[in-house]
Amino acid sequence: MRWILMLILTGMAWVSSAQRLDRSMWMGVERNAADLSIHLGAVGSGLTTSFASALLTQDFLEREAIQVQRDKLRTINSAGFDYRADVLGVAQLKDGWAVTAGVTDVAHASTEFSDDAFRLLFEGNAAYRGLELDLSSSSFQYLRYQKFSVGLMRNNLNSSMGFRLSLINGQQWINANAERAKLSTSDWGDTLGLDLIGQWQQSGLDEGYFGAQNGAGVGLNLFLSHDWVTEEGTWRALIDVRDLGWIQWFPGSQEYQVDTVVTFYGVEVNDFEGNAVGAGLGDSLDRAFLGWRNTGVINTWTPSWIQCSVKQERDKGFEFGLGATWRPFTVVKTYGWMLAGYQFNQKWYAGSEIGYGGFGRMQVAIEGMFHTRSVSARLRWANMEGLIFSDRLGGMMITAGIQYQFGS
Amino acid sequence: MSLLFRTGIFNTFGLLPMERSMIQNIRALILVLVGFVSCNGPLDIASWEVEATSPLVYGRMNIADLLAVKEISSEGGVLQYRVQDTLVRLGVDTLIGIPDTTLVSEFMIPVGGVQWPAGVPFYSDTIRTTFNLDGAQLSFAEVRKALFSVSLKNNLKEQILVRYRILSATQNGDTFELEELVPGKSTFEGDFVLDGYNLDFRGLDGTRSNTLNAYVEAMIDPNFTGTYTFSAGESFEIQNTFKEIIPQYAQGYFGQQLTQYEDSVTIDLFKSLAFRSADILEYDVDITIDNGIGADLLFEIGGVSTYNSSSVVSLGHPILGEPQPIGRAIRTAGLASPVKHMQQHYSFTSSNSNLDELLEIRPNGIAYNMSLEINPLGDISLGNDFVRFGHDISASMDLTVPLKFGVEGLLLRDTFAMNVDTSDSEQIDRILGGVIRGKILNGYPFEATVQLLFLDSNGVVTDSLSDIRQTIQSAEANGFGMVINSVESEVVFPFDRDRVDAVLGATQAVVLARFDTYQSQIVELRDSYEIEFRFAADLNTTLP
Repeated sequence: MRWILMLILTGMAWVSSAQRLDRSMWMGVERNAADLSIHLGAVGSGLTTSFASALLTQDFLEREAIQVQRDKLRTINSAGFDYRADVLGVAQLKDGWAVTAGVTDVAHASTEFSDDAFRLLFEGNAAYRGLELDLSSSSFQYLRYQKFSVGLMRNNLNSSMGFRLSLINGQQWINANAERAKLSTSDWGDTLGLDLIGQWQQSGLDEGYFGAQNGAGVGLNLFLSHDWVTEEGTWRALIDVRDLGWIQWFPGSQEYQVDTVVTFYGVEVNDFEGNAVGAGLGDSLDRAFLGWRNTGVINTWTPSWIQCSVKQERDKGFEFGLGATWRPFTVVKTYGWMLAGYQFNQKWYAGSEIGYGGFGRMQVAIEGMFHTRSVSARLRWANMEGLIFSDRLGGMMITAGIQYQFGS
Repeated sequence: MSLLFRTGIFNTFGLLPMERSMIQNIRALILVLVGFVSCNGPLDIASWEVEATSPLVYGRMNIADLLAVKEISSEGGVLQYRVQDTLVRLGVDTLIGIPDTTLVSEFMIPVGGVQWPAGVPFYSDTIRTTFNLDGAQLSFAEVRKALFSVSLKNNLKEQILVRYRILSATQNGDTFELEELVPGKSTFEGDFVLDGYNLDFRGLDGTRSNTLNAYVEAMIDPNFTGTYTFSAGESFEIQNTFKEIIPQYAQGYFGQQLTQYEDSVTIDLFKSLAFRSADILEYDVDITIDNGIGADLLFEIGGVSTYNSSSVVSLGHPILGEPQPIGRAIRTAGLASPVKHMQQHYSFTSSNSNLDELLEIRPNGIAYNMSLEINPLGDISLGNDFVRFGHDISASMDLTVPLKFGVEGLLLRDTFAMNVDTSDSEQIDRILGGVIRGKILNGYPFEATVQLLFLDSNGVVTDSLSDIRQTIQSAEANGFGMVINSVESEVVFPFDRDRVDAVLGATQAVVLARFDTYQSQIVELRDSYEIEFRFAADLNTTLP
């Protein structure tokens, strides 16, 4: 329970931008290569970086900090977290063909929550006697899995394409959503009312250690790029599909479908004899939930990325680009962006980006890249606004990658 | 970037100390990264304080529930304490208990060679059974239930026929008769039911009492051909037993019997009804002597007193120590009620006794002694005393105390079990304190103060939720002490961290309520009165 809460809060805490795929360095590489990349980012809207940081680094959250954060929330807020670590090898064959093999560790968390949910969690319901806290339209999804992939890639003069097929080990999965959830507390506090229509699905909640085998599936990554050479340089169009997949969670997975209205007045003790105090709202809810419990196999789609982009590539000078990212099977909105960068020489590049959508609103990122014949390195820092204006905005994302190329 | 910070460009946003803030934020990111890559190690996140409100308990109760005394009932809407108890009961079995009685007769041939024709009795005799009835002299009885057991032991070589007639036992004019063939060298044993027979205890000449007569004959089986030759020492034995005789009706002289009774009746009411002082105005005790037998009685109440652990108060009433003659019951012709009982009532009221004083000491019981004499003047009925099953002599008490009183310091307590799961000590430790609030709608015409006590498994008080008793206001009453409006009060029991363990670790909770009527004004408790209560808790706790 504690780490679920941590995940929720972490996801909520960082509001971010640049919620898109970075171009993987292995795409179109023309030599043998070993590639390591890590992507870590949390994005969203409503919560500030300061609050999230305090939550993670301090021992105790002062009430004032909670109130400051509460006042910055919108009615419905969203947040998400993505983590990906990818180790990949590329071996060149003949005629532009290459094979790839890799291991990837992926985590995704996303949530939508109301400001009332925040109030309930961080303040309790005592201050809201006589009111109704609306927790509707809340959702939470968390998925962790590992992929073992092999793939094929082909490069020619102006285009390249490739795919990676994966076997997936499902480690852990939680999916919760509340279509309608309202908690009312009477004026005097002698009545609690809960109106709930919701769903909870889980697998591997009790055995969530790294690599735990709680599900299995298949996945697909693919890309297709094409270059157009013009007087202003080369324009590269890229379609990148990543983490498209399906997981079947093993028997023992649990699903709760709840449609209930519970009114709790306390324990009735009309005659003290034979009564024991100890039953409570929890018992009532347990009964409501257990009445709708199913266990067995559950199938899910993995949170995926589909991204289309166009970017200018030059040996030296300013470069521009734009693109859009769609996230199937998540609550993330479509993210669109524009970028501008400067290629200092063949080795160094620096760029910046502004975008809108995803979990947040307007977002800013910067990136830098170093490239030689043997080594490529890339560092990207997104959601700068969340770090700089940490008391007002929130979010942070870092992507780092390094690649070693060898052979002819 | 550090240049930007140092030059203070970002200071325009009022964000300094920026570097510290940024370092903290980056540290947070690293924490999350490490948390995920290392997989599952739960990150330590800050805790925070929340205030949660939840209902606890609700319900209704009335004094009768709280007293938990089964003798509380309602009469005309007013609660009353009523105890009905039979102090003495004498029935037919106690008056004339007829003991099981056995007689044995034996016939033996002293010399051999005696020839005897078949079918001719070689033994006949009249058997007389006399019962010892401890002074009673019965002349007649109708049997409700009785057994006649007989054992016929044939020591002859041939089968014999035995005829047994109880001359004193008749049913619809027929005498009880038994014929039984007993094979040679064998014994016959049998039980025969005498239910419904009339027993004439006067003997064959009609001058005796407590006596039953039977006639027995024994002969060689008439179907035996020829004559039977007795050998020396051959014998025949008969054993008869009258047992478990319970008369439906009995008549005779029951003797002059004097019985002393000394006993007590427990009063449970005051075990759960403690008060400093009370003013009880109304009460009523009826002692009824019911004579259902046809014999004169002399009844005397020697004394009545109430007692508790420290004191005894004796009753004063004109009949105490004075023998009270009670006439005999009368036989009637009606089948539905064949006996007309004679009854005598003795009433103890506020005008002729001091019973209120006996009750105001919160007695644990009532002690009494009395005597009962049957036929105090001897056999004046000339042997015509009678008793019929189900028509007994009894002395019974009916104590009624309407709950109309003025009281000061009436203390009621009730205990209920607590079963709070404290196995998750971390969760318990998060509770910092709080307030338990109660909203109480009092429908009783007296003011109350309440206190909550918590006890461990040994019954030792571990804590009280409040050092100060909380006051519940009295309901509004009219000039006759009747409630016209319930009144709502709120009670508050704050508790801090130090009390949480003691309270949640308790296995029992005790509600202690102290009631006072206004200036000891007399009020009545009606069955429609009740207390409605709701309790809610405001809990100050930390998360996660």
